[in-house]
Amino acid sequence: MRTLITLLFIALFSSQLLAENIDECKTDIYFANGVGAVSHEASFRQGRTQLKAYVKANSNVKIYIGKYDLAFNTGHRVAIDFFEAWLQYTDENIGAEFGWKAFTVAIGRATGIGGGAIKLSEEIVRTYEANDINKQVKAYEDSIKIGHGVLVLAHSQGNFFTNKAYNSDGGIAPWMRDYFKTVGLASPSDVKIPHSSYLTYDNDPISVLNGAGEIVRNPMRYYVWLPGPNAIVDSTSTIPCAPITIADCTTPMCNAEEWYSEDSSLSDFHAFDYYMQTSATQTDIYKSLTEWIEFHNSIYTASQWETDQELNKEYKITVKHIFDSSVVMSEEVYPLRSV
Amino acid sequence: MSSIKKVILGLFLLLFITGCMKVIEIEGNKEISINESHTYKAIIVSTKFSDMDSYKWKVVSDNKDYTLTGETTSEVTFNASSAGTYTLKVIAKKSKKPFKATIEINVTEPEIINGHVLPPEPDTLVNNSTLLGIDTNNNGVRDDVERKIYFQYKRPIEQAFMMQYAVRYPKVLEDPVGAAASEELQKEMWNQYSCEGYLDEQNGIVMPNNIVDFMEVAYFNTKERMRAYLEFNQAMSGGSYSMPIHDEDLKVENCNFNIDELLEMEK
Repeated sequence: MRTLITLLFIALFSSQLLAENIDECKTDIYFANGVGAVSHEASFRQGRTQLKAYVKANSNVKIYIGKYDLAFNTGHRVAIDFFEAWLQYTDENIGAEFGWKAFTVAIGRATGIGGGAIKLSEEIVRTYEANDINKQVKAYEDSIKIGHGVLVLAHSQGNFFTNKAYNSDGGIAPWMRDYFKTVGLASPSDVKIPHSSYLTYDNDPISVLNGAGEIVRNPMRYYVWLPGPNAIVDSTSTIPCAPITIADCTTPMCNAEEWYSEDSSLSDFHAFDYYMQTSATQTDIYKSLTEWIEFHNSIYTASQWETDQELNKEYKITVKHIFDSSVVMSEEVYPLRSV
Repeated sequence: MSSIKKVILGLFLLLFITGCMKVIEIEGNKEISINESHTYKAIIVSTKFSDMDSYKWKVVSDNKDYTLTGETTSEVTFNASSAGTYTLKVIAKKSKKPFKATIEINVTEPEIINGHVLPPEPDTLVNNSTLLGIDTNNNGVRDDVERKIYFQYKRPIEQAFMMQYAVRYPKVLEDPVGAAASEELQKEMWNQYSCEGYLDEQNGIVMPNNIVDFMEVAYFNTKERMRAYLEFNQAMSGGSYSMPIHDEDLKVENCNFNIDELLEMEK
């Protein structure tokens, strides 16, 4: 079996920077925010609040987390953001069933922001998108180069950005893909990054776009009441129930002959905070995050380094990078763990 | 009417209109607090003149509790030690021709909340006429925002935290793209969240949920300011920003106020 060298490298000489930074036990968590997020500040705060709650509930993983980052994409004014998301959707789905108008309606319902057929220049939007992805790819690569795993907690449009950072020509180097995982929430994308996990509520309006994600039945539902065949609808008629949860609905108040109910999606069910705070999904999200952090720290994740020469002095060795010969470790190091 | 009379009337009318046209104006705060020094500037607003030969300032008021310095220049410093209305007057001369301007200054007792002296509410028109607005006490927070913070948030610790938060926004307004690339600004943001995390973890003090909404609405309250903010966010887009969540990242020294003193005040 190939010798697997993991963990910290302890440098011998003064040029310690590279060796000190490398730590193959750690995972960097990134939060990739969703569509319509105009301000960096709001996304930052949202990501920080939810990730803080996660580590508070899972304190055992704390030591394996390198850093918590926001991989920010702004709502380059909402209309552009919508268009960008649609372009990303059509990139992934050639001959997509959803045209621009239908797409904006679905995203509009999911985010609570009115959609519509907005004419925009694809060139402008593509420039914004490329700029954002280039920067994000660099951040992910920087994490992986120092041995860290990258775990992206992506919400909504953040999944498109994450997919591009993973898959596209300008994305991360192919060898880095083994160190990159996603927990995707409310993804409008059909694409799944290998070994990642995805979760979308069945009554999140975005679920109509999602063909490949895990659809979870949301126990929380709202109903609106519409006139049935025998309903007398005039100016004096009243709706028997206001939008309520199903638990509140009792016959004969909701007589199907007169009124029937229609399951109605709410933009609330799409919100990042909703996914992160609702028990039906929170447990699974936390479990997925922890699994990936532990997986990166396990023997099942191969080291980026292998023994070059055994020096027979103080057990030290020299190492070489398995995937990228341009990455050089000049120090002699201790192999802290071998498998 | 004879033609001579018409000519004379026309001349009078011309003289009257010319006399009414403003040549100089005074720029400065109309609402100030006692014992605060403020600068007032004579601005030439007529395109006919590029400069003046001389300036003479004076204060018209029954109240003599004031000081005025620089009375023969284009800019004076005014300070009043008692409340009241003061009329500041300037006469500028060009080729012996005088031009006058006045401004009424309302001097009030400062409002003090939790030991913090609030700046007076600025004139909305003047305050919103520039990106940075008015910051009379030069503490880095625009006066109207500072007042809103102290009226909206009741706990001294929240007020102090919000002031620390607000202080980085003038940089965003002044140079949105430069601010997005500024390491100093990133450090300020890191410190703010580090402080907030410390307050939560060590003192169980949780900042209100609405602070981002509050700050965005209060600070970016004009089209120009909002445009600058969008530009800033645009420039931030794609970037990766570290969040202080690790225990070792939450540090008391990243709060720029004395937590114990403020908590004592709440007792």
